[in-house]
Amino acid sequence: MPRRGNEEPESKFVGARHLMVAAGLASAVLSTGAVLSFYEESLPGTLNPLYAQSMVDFRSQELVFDRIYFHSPIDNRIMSRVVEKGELAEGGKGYKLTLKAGLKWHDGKPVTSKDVCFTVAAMLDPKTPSPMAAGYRTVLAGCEAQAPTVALVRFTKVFHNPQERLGFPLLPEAPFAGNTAISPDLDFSAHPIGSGPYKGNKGRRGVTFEAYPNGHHNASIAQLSLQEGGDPVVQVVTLRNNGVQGILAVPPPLRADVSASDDLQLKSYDLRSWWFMAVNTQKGALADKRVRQALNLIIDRTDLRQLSIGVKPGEQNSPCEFISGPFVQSSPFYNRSVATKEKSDRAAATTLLTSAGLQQIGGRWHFKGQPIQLQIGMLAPLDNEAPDLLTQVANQLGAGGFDRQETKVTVDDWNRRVLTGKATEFDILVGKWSFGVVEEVNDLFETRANAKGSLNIFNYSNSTVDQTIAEYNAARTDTAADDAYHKLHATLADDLPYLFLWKLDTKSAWRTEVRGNTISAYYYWTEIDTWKYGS
Amino acid sequence: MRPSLFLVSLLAACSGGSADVATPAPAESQSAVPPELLATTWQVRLAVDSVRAPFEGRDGWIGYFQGARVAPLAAFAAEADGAALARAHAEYAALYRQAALMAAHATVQVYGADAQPTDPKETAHLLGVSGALLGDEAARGKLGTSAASKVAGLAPRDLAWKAWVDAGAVWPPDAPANGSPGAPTAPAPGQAPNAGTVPHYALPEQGVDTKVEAGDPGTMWALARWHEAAALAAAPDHAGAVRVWIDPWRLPPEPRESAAGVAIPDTFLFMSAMSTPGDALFLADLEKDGSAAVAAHVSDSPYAAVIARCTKEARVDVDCILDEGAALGQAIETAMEKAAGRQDGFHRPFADFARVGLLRAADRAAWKLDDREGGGRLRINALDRTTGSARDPLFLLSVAAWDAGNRNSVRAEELVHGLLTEVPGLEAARLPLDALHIRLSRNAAPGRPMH
Repeated sequence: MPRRGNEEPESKFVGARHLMVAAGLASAVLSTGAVLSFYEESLPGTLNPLYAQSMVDFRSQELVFDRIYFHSPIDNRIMSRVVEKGELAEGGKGYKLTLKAGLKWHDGKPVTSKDVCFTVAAMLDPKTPSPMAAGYRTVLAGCEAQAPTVALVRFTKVFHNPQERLGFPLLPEAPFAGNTAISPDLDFSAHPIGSGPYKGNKGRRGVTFEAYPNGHHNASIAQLSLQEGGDPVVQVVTLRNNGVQGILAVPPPLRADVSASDDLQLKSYDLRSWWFMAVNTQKGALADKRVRQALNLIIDRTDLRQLSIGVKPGEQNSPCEFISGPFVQSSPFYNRSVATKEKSDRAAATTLLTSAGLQQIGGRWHFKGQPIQLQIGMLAPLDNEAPDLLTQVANQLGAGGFDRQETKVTVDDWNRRVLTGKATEFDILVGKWSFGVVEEVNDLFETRANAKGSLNIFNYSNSTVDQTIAEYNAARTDTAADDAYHKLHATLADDLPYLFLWKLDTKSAWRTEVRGNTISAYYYWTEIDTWKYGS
Repeated sequence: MRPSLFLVSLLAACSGGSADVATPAPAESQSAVPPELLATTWQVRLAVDSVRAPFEGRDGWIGYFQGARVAPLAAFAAEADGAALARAHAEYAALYRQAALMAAHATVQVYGADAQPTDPKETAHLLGVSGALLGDEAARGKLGTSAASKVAGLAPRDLAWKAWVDAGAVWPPDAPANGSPGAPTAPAPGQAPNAGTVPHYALPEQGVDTKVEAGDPGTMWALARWHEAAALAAAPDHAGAVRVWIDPWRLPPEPRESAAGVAIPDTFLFMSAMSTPGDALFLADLEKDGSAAVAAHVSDSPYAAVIARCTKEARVDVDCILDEGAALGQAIETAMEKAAGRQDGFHRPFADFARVGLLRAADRAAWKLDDREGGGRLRINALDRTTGSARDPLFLLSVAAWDAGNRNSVRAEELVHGLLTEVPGLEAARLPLDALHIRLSRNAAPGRPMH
């Protein structure tokens, strides 16, 4: 039901403590030994690192595979667990890697330079339809196995920081029988063979990761059990009762409870995440920019944030900060001259809708004589981080004069249909994008063609946007790149293929018995070897 | 409406003025900290209503409890509480030192380590000033090479810094820094000046027609010294406490004096991560004397006592510190309850200052033992606990400075962004960090958005 003017916003978290007690009694399970269970946002879609689409995929794969080089989560030094020696070669266009001795795959076979070159070849193979690999095709030129432990990786040009370009996960040659065209639907995606600290097995209800002792890994936790998180209140109760030992993402309203407990510890997870409502610019009245701008004015972000995330107006140091474009406010790419919309402005919205030819009949907006019904979807796991967000969005649009229908979209459907631009039955889709140090948004907004715009949800197309992205790609200097993204931000904030909502920081919670649990920015589990649990 | 905090249970507003307070009877403790020492913490002593009364109901301290720093300056000035004003200005003097450190580290990374052929020639000046602030002679050697620059205002600055170097580079570099763009003028206690009009310079890039917006790191040093002078002007009698307060946060080339015998009033401890005067002296001595300060302060600093217990074979045991941090917090809460004769809602938030304070002190001790790994882990754990009332802008900015030196721009950007309101001059210090982030972002391995 739409909320009426004078009603106090209610949150799902009202009475949370009461629920927590009740739910906790039912779900408490004691764990023993060095087995660590944790709640993830969802189950991973794939354990094949070439095909990660979600942060859950990405994090899970970090447990199973070694990246050739990575950054220390302590002091950000670039390090490797698999490379004994790395040296520049071929005038800087190559990098010679000497692998450490004794590295093994999870099937017991040795890791060799052939595997390094197989990984490079697989990424360069155009028949490997991996978006991640596509990015590396602009960087990598080839690889030569010069000795069993020596590989020469060649680049497309001289990079002053070649190790930074070797952050990809190492794949084994044998399971693919040397076939470098790797498809996403192989058994490897559920039962991969890596050389990382854990051997992963993806089941229907969870994923287990068994420690695999290796020359370069010696995880002290024997098994990790990934479970799909449900109701966040129940998650916290289960954590309190030691039914699980960690929660990847604790929604803001529950963080104070976690902080107040000596048994639990909130941990920061450095991730740049922002939330959005993608608008189907190809469909009906939404093709008119004025209608999208009106929707942007009908949405009351302050209310939405309070109702779903529990942030009160004017709250200081909020974990949730409004945005006006496709970057977080702390990013230099964010155009700080474009104001955020925090409160609704129905009068201005009405003016825009009327100017777009819409008619309000009986309080409902009509387009070409028919009432507008908005199909609104949301990526289902977001309901745990921002409970009731979908309902609240629908309520606000309903109060603004639009009929609507709500759907929670499963992760699988999101991967198969939404990201591929096929979910065109929807008018609006609520989602979240996460980034690390690379904040490129080109795939989200560029016209979908020839591998460009590969994450363009509603196949949005705008020649100014395409031109601006081309300027970004062609920029010789950082200043030119920054200027291009500022321009892109301003264009998108006007044209509104997305209604930009907010940045929401991510905090995990772990029981204090879990020690050494330094969390890596973006990758999360990079330091899992140092984690300890139990005696 | 007055916010609810520890003051929920507090008395009506009291007049300004600082106080030292009596020590209640020792409480039982599970912590490594002896009860006698525990009883000297400000948390336990100020658990008693009558003892806490001088701090009650005052806008300045309410602001502190909420993580604010600008508003307390004005509030303490209005109350004519010289000591509190000096404490607040001392904190800013430390904050701007960390801002200078962050800007200098970011500058050295982006225009030194990751220099590009298109970078403006005048980045040499920025590198030179950064080198001076970091004590990096190689970078400092760039000073003087921009003396003929046509960029508005830059050549005189370069010449001034070069003159300072030529005169022996004697600290402090106030003469060249005070002419920096946006540098504040005569100290005015109670004010929080910004860094002037930002950017300070528009530097033409080479071979293209774009310009880099830049801030002068020297302005951060000028702001730090301005606040230091304001602190001393506000409470000349507390010059020693001001100095000790700043000591842990000084820039690498700054000379340090002994902290011995300096009196630290409660005003300089209240709602800080230092629980006793001994903690303040310990942290100051740690920077001057290195790890020898631990043994020297085991009897007057709870933190030193715990660190001594948790140090084995020249390594600080991170798990031991974490356990002791929890035990110390609990012991303080128990002692507060005993001292007050009841539980109060502010007991835990007050104890949290010590929980995180111990980790921060241990982090420093680990670094003095050259244990960077342990120090880093403790710092990250401290960061995770720097929330609620214990959210300390100074510590957060120091982590951002560390991150900038480590080329970890993502976290640094986030930390700095969250501090812009309370540290107005940060707008200028942010510019090289922005530049570093863009450069790292464009030179990283390919990445794409994930849902």
